[in-house]
Amino acid sequence: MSPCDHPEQATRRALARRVDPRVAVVCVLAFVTVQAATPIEEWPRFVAYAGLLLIAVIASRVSLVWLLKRLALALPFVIAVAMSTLLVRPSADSAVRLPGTDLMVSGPLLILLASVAAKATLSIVALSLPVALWDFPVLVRALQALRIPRLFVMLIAFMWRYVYVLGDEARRMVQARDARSPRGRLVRRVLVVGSMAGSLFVRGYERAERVGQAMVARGYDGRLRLLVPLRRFRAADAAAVLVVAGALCAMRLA
Amino acid sequence: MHIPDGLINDPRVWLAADVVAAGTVAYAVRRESRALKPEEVPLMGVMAAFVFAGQMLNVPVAAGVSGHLLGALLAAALLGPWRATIVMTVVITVQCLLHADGGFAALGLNVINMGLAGTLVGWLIYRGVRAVIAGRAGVLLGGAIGAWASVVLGALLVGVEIGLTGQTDFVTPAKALVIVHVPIGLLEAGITVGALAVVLRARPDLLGCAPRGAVEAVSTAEAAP
Amino acid sequence: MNAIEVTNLHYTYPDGTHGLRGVSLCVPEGACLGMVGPNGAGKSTLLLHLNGILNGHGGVRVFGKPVHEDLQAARQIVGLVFQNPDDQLFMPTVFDDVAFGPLNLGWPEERVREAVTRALESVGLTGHGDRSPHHLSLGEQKRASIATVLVMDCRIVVFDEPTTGLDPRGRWEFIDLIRDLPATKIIATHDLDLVRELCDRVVVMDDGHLVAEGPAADVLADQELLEEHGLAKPLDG
Repeated sequence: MSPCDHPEQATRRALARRVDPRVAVVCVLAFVTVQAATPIEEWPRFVAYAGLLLIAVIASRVSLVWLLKRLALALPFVIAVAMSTLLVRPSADSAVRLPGTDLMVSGPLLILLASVAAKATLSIVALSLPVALWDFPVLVRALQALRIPRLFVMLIAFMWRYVYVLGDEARRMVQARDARSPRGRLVRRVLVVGSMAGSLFVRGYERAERVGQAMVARGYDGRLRLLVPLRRFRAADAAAVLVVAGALCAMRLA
Repeated sequence: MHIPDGLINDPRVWLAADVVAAGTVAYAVRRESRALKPEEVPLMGVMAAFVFAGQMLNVPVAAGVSGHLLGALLAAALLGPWRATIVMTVVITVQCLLHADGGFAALGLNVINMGLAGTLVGWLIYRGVRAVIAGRAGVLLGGAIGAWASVVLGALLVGVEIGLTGQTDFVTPAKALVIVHVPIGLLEAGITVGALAVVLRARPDLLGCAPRGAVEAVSTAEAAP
Repeated sequence: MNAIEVTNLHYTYPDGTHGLRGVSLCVPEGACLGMVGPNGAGKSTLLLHLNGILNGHGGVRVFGKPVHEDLQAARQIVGLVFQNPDDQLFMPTVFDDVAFGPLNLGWPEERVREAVTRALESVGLTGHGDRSPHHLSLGEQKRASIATVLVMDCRIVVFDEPTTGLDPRGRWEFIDLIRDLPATKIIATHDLDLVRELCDRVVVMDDGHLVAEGPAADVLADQELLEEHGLAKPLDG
């Protein structure tokens, strides 16, 4: 239920933290996009991607359990495609024999299964690394330095701050409901959750009005000014860029 | 239904979706930035937090199965279509970057399926119903139909996106996906109606309705009978 | 000189509710004024006028200058500490939050950093700048809220219900902190012990009116007045 599940402190001492967060974010997004754009039929490339990612995971000292929990997000999709593969009767020209069995399954669906399993795994693991290494405010600064539109940076900052506050309120409402043991028809239960969402909205709206007043009281005029501690690029940053860019190029050209 | 990377295998499909989503969101930002008052920026930020937190309110459907609000239509009804588009994009992007919930290459697909389908198409339906039926009933009925349609349309879009590769074997799973979302849409409709009813009572001005008598305070007590 | 001068101030909320019905008030420089009254009396509404967030009919002057002549200047002089730290602290980290006001005033980066460090030190939060406000205790949040106004060298600091929700120790620490602030202070509260402890003068508000004003000891001893406006009489009064 926590808005931002944070892994243990081990990542604080990780080698990967020497890289500038801006560089890390760009590298991760480039890696995710390149691997997603690679046809799954060229499977040796994915072995290479996984190798590259493994090095990054080790350098980040992320715990395996934490990564596995995040990987569970893709599980419903993998299961759904796997079930489709088993259940859908393949058309005559697309049927292939499932390796090791006598079962005839659809070739395109089998390829889709491999695609979602491989690409979702690589993507989720890669996307998890910056979050594991740095606190969210640092990443917001990195996004700001990367010229993401200012409005987005502001909205992300506010959202992160108030997700905790509203999340706590939501949790208290769920507890209050569960404490009174919600028996009753489904329709009733759905409407109850609806009115909880309505209350959450009204409270959130009124909170936003007060926050706006508090900001105006301190001279806010619509422009969010943040001190961005822009560190100079260091050798480690250049090395990270070169390694990732070089590796990605080599894998695409090979 | 945050699509992970790889479910849509064909890069042409997700690249096109990324371009369409980025263009639409850029338009929304340009359009709203001009009219945005300083204090409305924290309002939109808190609303993004509301959508995020609202997704924590779960409905126990059956043993081990529960559903929750998506919130795109609700956000559009409360903030207007373009602001809701921006808010939903922020929510979906943060869910991708922070929780790895939904892929990054597939971000455009997710913004279209879970954002635009509700904030633009769902909202048009909602406005349409309100144009025909005035007052509270119009808000609630429009909200219900719009919310249901946004979820079913979202699933339909996923089906189309899977099917765009032209593989005939994908037709059956895509159909199943849409059928499953017909009842899930009812859940969204129910939660949306419940939420709109509370807002109508506490802050009817936010939905463009005149207050009915005295303004009542909203408390947890009436939320959980 | 009067730090604050309010003359015949009226305010009606957009939904038609009357917030203030003709309030006049003078606060001399260096004073510590307590403001008591039941919920809905108009205390918060009045406070929001003091640096021009609300704009009713009537006059509000800060050190002789009408607030609406130069809002930015008024906001540097009058610091508002909101009741709920979740409203006051809206940035991702404590440092960002304390730096928010100075950055809006256009101070150079070095000055901002120095001022933030000094403000955090004066409320006992040195080294907590990188923390998220959500991860602070309520007492720490309240102190961080004060730092966000102290940092701007406000000559007038206005508190709305400063002690709500604090445990006894946190409350006493907080009272000591307010007492030592070198500023003109206005405190709206239900906490009559706090008023007795800190304030030299007290005003009583009810239903948008200012119904009584006088030295703290006299007002707090007026059993009839306190009962009439739904305020508990102090136990040892």
